[in-house]
Amino acid sequence: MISLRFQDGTLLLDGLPEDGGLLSDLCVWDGRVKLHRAVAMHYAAILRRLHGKHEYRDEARAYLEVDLIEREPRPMRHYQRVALEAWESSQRRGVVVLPTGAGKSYVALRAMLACRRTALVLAPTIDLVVQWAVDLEARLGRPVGQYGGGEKRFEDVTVATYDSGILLMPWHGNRFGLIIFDECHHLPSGVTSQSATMCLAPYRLGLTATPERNDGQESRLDELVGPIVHRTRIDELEGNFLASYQAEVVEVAMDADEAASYALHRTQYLTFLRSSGVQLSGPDGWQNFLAAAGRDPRGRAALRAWREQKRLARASRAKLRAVWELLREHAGERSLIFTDDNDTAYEIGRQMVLPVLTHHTKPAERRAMLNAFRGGSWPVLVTSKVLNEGVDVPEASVGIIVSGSGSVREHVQRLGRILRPQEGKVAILYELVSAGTAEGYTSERRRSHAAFGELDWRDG
Amino acid sequence: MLTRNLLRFAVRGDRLDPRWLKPTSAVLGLAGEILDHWRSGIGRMRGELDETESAILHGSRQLLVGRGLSKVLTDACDFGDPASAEMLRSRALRASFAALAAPLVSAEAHRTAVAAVLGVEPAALADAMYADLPDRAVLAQVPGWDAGQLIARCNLALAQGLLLGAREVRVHLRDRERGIQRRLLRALARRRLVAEVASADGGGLYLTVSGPAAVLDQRSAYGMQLALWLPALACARSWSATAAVIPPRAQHETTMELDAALGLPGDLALLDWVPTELRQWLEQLPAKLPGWLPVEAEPILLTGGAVVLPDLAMDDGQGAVAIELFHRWHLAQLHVRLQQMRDGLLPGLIIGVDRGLQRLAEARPLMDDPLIGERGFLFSDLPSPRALAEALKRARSGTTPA
Repeated sequence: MISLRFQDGTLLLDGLPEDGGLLSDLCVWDGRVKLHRAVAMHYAAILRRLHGKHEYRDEARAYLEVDLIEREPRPMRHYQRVALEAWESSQRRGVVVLPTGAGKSYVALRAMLACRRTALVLAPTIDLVVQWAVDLEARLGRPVGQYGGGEKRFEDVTVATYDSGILLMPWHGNRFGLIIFDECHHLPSGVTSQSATMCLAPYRLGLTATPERNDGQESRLDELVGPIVHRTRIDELEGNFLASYQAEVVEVAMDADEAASYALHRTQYLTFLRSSGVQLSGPDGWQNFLAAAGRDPRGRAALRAWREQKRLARASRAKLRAVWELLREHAGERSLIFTDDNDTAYEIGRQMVLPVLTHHTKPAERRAMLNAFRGGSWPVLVTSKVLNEGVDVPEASVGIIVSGSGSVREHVQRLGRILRPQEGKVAILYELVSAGTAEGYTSERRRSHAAFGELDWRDG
Repeated sequence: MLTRNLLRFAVRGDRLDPRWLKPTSAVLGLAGEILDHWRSGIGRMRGELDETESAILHGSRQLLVGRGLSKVLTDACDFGDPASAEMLRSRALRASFAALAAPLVSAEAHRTAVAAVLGVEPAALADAMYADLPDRAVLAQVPGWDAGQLIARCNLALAQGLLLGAREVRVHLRDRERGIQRRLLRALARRRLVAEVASADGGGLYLTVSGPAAVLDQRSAYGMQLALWLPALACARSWSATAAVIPPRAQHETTMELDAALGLPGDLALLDWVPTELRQWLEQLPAKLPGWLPVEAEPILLTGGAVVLPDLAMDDGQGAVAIELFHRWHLAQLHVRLQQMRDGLLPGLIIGVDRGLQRLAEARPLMDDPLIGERGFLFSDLPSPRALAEALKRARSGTTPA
């Protein structure tokens, strides 16, 4: 008789021959405990292997069958149904790729109803966790557990952040039959993947609009969640299930004094880079620059110069005037202003007396700001990166990107924030770029996506 | 611990050499300047202190060293919460959005109009709007370290930062005292780490420490736990360790040597740390064991100088019953404890024995000892309240199980 037990995010297997027998490729001998040990994630594969071939006792599983009912069922959209069917036929393991605003969370809900097992939803931020909890409680008409953000409460359906997932799995990784990874492109990075490997859930669903990662680690999703079982592109839904939109790049010329200052500081830091032989684009380029700067007074001046030219390109006076002009043009419309850094966000907040939402914003005020934005009493919200992902603000129709990284994902996600459909809505995304600066190149990089009329390999 | 960008080390072949800070006059001077800077800043705002500190750091010719020292110190400082600006912000935003219904020609004109509604100067409004950000937090307290102690803590933070990439740590613990050995092993278990334990000459121990899944995955999934265990290990008087580490920006595994001679400061709070899950388990015991309350587990002194350190204790109003848990690596200690119990030295002690011990061939004769049935219980992971309740009941009534 082979027995399986869950321990600290792994499976202990008793009763196997020394070489692991029919499970030899799924476990290893652990001399410390004199038992075979397997990654908890392999639970389903191990049971499939044993079933009908060997007698076994399953002491690992602690998840339950549950009766989940949707309070007010609604029909699925065509692409949602196709996505769910594809996932079901892939042994209920796999990744569904849908654009932001296309209703990924409804696919997740239907997956829960289909599996009828205790379920865990992992999301990258506490805002998203709260949003999932509120949404699921309303749809299921029952309390939803929350782990993290000061709460440690399990229910038949529980939501948690990825960070909490890593902490809870060694203790509770056997309590879930279904695990849903929201924004699952986060999963392959570093220790975050432990929230998948240390959980034995046989059913797994990944949700994302953009599975691709700059480090190419998206291939790990196959092992951690399952294959990509469905993909719908943003341009396939525009105008029907997503709002129609326009994307406009606005080049902004700096004031003469700031342009001169930008040129001076940029030259100063580039001169130092050349003279010290540091290549920022090379491996460890930034670390090498910092090290060189620490050794040499000219280097320290170059570091200050780098900061100043970056600050000017991100938040020149002309750019901030352009933001104000756009706010005037779209007065009364729900507008989100995105920046690359907190300093610029708060600078805009101070100058224009606007609400700023960053990771420094306390939860109660964060909720109040989002509610006032949704309700229309505070129709403008400034943010750096915390609203890039997931948080649902269907009423937003104007996006103003004051500064950002070269990440395609970040740019597509920011666009996604204004694409939730509403009657007659045409969303508009402005991207402010300081003319004649390195921002032009950054902007080109992030627009390499079908959503902006530029297909690349990522869109297949 | 130090962040990736502040780690100073060299990789020579398979060897990882942390660049330990030595208490040279230059480094002591820099550490002293940083300490003085923050001590003289009590009552001032963090952002302002950060800004003025940069002159010290940039002037030192040891920017990275200075940043590391500063991080270690400021991580240990207490900052008061800045006064909330939420009320003012809320009023200002209401006035702002009222004015935005018909936006003025410039942001400056808009700010001036909003300030007028609130009865303040526009510049004061801009300053006060977000005056509760962390850089406005006021410094309340600075640790009482001297320059040498700050350097030692920076070295500990460097070792911890590198251990984040550790897969395994081999330790030779030369301390013979059972108390520290037991607390270190308990600290390991509470961090969900696994150790292979062997006796060393002179009463010490050899430990090979890694995570449960380390046999499955060569990646450093337990680096954080190993890094947090290091200050516990440093509480021992005599020890050395070899860590298998993949340092930042390296592609291959290297070896880092650590030992007590480095003077890394120990941390008793981390030695006796209790994880939230265990604390919650203890907190829910009174509900599941009516009449019993968890109390502080006192060490039990035996004649001859031996000390027993129970893991927990329960009291029903008639005095505390101590409970000691024996895991897979406690075979030798269990053997000794059972003999002490047979000798009548520990009348108030209950023992919990990990089921994993049953699987060890060398433990089987011990597991048949009737004392385990009379004065103990078996557990996997954490003792079940039912097993504990029955053992406590037997302890009180002096009965043996049917």
